[in-house]
Amino acid sequence: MTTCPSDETIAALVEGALVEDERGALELHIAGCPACAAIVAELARLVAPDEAAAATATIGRYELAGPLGSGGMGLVLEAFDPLLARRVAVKIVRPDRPLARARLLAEARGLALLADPHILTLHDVVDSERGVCLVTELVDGDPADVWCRRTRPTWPQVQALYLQVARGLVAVHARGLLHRDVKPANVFVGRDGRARLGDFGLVGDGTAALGGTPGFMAPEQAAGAPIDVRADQFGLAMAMIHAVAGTVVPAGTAAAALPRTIPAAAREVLARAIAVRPNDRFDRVADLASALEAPQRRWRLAAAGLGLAAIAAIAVLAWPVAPPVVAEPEVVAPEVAGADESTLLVAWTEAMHENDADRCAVVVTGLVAIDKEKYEGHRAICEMLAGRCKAGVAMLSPAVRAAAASTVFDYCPADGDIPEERADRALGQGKRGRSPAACADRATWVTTLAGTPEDAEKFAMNAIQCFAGIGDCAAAREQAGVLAKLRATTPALELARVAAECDR
Amino acid sequence: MGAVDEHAGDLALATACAAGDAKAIATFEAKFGPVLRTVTARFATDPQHADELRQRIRERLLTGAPPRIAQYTGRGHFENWLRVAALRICLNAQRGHDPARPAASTGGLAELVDGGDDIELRFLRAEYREAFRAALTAAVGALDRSERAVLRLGVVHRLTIDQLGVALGIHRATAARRLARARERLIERTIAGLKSSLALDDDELASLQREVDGQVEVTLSRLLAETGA
Repeated sequence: MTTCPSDETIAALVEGALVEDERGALELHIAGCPACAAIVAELARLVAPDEAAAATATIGRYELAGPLGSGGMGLVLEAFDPLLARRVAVKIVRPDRPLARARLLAEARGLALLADPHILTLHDVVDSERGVCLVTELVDGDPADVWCRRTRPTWPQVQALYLQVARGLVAVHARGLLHRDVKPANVFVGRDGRARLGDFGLVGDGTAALGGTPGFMAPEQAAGAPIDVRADQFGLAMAMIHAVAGTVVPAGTAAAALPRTIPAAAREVLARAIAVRPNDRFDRVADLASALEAPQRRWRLAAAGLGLAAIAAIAVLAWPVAPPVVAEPEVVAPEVAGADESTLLVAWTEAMHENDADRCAVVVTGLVAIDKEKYEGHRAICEMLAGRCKAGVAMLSPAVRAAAASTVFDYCPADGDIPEERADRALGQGKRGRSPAACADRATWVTTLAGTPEDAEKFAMNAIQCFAGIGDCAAAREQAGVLAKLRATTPALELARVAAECDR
Repeated sequence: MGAVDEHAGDLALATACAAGDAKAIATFEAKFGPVLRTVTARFATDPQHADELRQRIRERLLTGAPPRIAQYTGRGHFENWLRVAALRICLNAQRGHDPARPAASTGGLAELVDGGDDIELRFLRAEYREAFRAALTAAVGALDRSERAVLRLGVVHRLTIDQLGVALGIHRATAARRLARARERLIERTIAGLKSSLALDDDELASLQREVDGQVEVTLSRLLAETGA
């Protein structure tokens, strides 16, 4: 049998403060040492949150309901605030844990300084004989680690989520604070798609050495050295890698060794953010965010123009052309025979605006005859407009198709009914609230509820996601047309969005 | 991990207590008395016995050369270090004081199986009883150390899933999964052992399997719990 661990090591085990190797070694020791097993068991009984007692009580005016989870510090419960008639989350530490209490109050002070859509909102703090508790907004959703396991997000989804977290972190840093424990379990993903950064127990000013989480903690933090905003940047980048890889990678991992599911440009950015030396990282989280967003922004700018400019941009935004396997002469539809390129492009734009798949198909034959390489992507868009997502995808270059490997285009119905299996699957994946009726509601809100053009756009995007989520690609395409009109852009962009949404 | 700064106040307090500073000891009593009370409450139901235990903890922690409290180095939360130290003292006291209730330190899982009573095996027909016990004992012996750790805490000490998660420093869902898997593998191995020793035909085996499925876990828990703490 190995030597019995020290009292401090056993205490660190239940605090979750051991690195995995130490934890594993102690576990093996427990297997063979009944005395230490007894200590650990008794300690766990003392320290583990007392759910049964907590679940039948109130704290302050809050009526406590079921547990949401428990961390190293205390218990997180769902609760009801009868005064404001809303559900809230309540984090309690027991009164016999003075240090945890001090830490929770530190968290409260940190949160109280911050008001940001991507930071968990603090409602109240209660200090009672049952303990101190922090009352925050209740996020209807999951922590990011659970969200990742459930939804298997694509890179664009991961990036969209964590760019929101980056905005929250920028707000934290602007206050001169550090989060110090950025990791998936501390990011809450609402069903509304909004990400909030929470668990501010470690928020501090960079001088007090507090523990983070191994794997997500920057090397200088693990070494107990002074840290700055670049340590939070490290955690953020590692969380993004974790979201696609399902695991963390060592600090200093090179771009080439990061998962291939992350685009090359983003791999370079992330590799820089997880550099071992803080000086090799970006100066600020905002710089990391801009570097990640840069390719996206070019996209958006390219698509913002109208008419010919927008159409010319499609070659950029969409889809590199698949090299033809056999060089067949293109058959030009009689209606467009002899038309010049600019006339055809105008006609094509009109077809897109009218959602006229037939006309699109006719016009594109002329375009492809003029320049096959340049306009093959247009043809793919016509196929999708006609509801033949699979055929459209087949026209894309192998590289793009590979990225859509797990594509759901196979399920995309040729303008038919939603296959039940697909709908069931979408609904079963925790996408509650996504039913044909709920999606139709969202589509209605575009005109009935939206107060501003921005809101209308949001609702329309939401409706696209909703319909795509339940597999009704035809309805999603219809919403794409609505969104295109709101944005005064070509529907091609929005059809691309449908394609992206269907790609789940 | 550089957590020492955070606990610097408690480290200073512990150092002063070790040096016998009366004011520091009074502060220690005021701040951490409740922690000691929750520990002793697990070992003593009547207040007098609990007082005795707390007195014993105080002696061990605060007197001696050097006093035990000097072992705290500020690495983790002082209150958890204190819990571990106090638990060790209570468990040792119990072992000396209460031989009728031995602590869990009396042996391995396999030996617990051997020491059990046959009473739960009555559901099995007599000719299977010995084979069942042998198969179960072999299955327990074949557990790997990680499975053993989970079963020891989950079955012998009867921790809830939340407590098991805390005890192993893992998420409660992971704890639940690991406990379930260890139990499943124990059952699988027991049935495999029965199959090879009894040479049953498929119908007989299926019938026995149904009985074993329902009973092996209950049997094991009871066998283990009888000698466990």
